[in-house]
Amino acid sequence: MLQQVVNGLTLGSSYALIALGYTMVYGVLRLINFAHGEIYMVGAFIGLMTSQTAGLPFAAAMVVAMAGAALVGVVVEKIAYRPLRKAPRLAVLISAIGMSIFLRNLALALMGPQTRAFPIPFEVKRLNLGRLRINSFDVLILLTSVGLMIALHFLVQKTKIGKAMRAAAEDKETASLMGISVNRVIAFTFAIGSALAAAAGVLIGMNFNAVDPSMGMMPGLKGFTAAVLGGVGSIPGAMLGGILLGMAEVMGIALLKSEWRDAIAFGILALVLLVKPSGILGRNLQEKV
Amino acid sequence: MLSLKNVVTCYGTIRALKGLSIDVGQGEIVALIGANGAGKTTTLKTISGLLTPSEGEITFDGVNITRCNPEDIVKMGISHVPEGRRVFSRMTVMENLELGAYSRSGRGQGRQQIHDDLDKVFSLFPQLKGREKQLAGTLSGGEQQMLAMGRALMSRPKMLLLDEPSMGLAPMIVKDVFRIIEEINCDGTTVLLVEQNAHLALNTASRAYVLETGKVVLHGESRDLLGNDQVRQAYLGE
Ligand SMILES: Nc1ncnc2c1ncn2[C@@H]1O[C@H](COP(=O)(O)OP(=O)(O)OP(=O)(O)O)[C@@H](O)[C@H]1O
Ligand SMILES: [Mg+2]
Repeated sequence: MLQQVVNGLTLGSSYALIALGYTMVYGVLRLINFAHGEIYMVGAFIGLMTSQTAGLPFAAAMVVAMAGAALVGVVVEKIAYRPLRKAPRLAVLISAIGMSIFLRNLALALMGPQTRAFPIPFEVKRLNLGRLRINSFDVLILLTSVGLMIALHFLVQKTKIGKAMRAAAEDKETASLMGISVNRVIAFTFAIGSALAAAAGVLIGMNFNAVDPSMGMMPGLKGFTAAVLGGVGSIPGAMLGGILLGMAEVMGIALLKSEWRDAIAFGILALVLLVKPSGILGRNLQEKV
Repeated sequence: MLSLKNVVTCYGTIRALKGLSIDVGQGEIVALIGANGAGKTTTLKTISGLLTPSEGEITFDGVNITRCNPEDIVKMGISHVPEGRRVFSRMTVMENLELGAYSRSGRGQGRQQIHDDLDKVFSLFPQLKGREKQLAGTLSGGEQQMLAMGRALMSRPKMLLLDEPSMGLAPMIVKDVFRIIEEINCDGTTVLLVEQNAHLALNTASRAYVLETGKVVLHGESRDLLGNDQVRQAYLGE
């Protein structure tokens, strides 16, 4: 049981990292960035390349992956979303899906279809506490995720740019009257969300020892589910939704079979959308996604 | 100080301002009155850069600001208190005021100046004192109006654009708000005031423009307009 809790927390915190990007972007643009899963994949690849070819230590590879993905996120916003800022929702949705397909195929063309192993840049230790087994990955994923979430909370609540983000999320027109450059805030939001997804990509890619061009699809959908579960647009909601989804999956696998894993996640998604589309911590949505 | 010349602003194909010209001098309170839909809000939004005119020219302190974006216009010293107050309701009173100072540098001396200006805002609007941590959305309408004005003052504007500051407020509070507007003006801030309540506007402002369907139909000293038959009939309900 305790083992399940640890597994659920590890899985859940990586979902939370992905969910944060969806929720932050939704917060300022009322837009689901369906290319977010691909950003996660790009982050994993950058992390892989930097630790493999450049031989950088883990922490440095992580930083480079986050920075690289942030840049990609900003470019995606600039070319796929900014020109459509005033366009109908459907056009934006199509652009998002197009961007997602483009990034996946770009990775396919550049890196090839094969799954690559992620060289582990440190010694993996295993700890047995009675029947509870914890390894270095669990600790690393948990510590990194929690650390990043604390940093994000500080950024959003206390810093000038964080306050500008919250102001723009609430009322872009009035935010611009304060002297806030809304375009810059939106770009910054994509950068932060993408960096968090890249962190998740590196952590999960390493944990499963697998990186490939289509790896972003499932975690992307899971992160989206977590964001909806917690209440899309709400940052604490994304954290909570991620953890709950991770727990539910792990518990579900323990009770049923592991094939049920994705069914559980998407069952939750369908249920939330039917019963309470605003999620656990979300405000009631006026607009449709 | 501020001058609009033959400004045309459109929403799609609808021309909301049809060649509007107004002038505001340094230190004045100037009112813009007119019926619903006359284009008062559109005028303020065009000045503050939220809307871009398709024709005409706007100059402020001799600088052409016709095509500037709102961020730059705040920095030049025009601060807009929008219609309906538009406080950031999910943020605290203090955060709203800090956002008002967003365009200023918070480093070194700037930090101290912002601090001093916060004190000034709290002494101008004592109702806000002790509510620093309260969410702006939970303030009363009057308090929100004060917060919106205080927030606008935090950018240290040379000129304040006020869009219907009396909207939805009890007469007592309206009196307070207008007393404060005069106080702000006495401190050297120029004011362009949009008001439905023509009586109030003409008694506060030294000059006024009367707008009808996107054009100025009348302008002059407030006391002349108060005596003008046309104005008395159409706007003062006499
Ligand atoms: N976003 C918009 N899209 C289309 N038309 C608009 C828009 N905003 C305003 N208008 C039109 O422009 C004209 C002027 O509107 P404006 O809001 O400036 O009037 P106003 O004088 O401020 O009125 P009120 O006293 O009701 O606030 C109106 O005919 C209005 O219908
Ligand atoms: Mg109006």
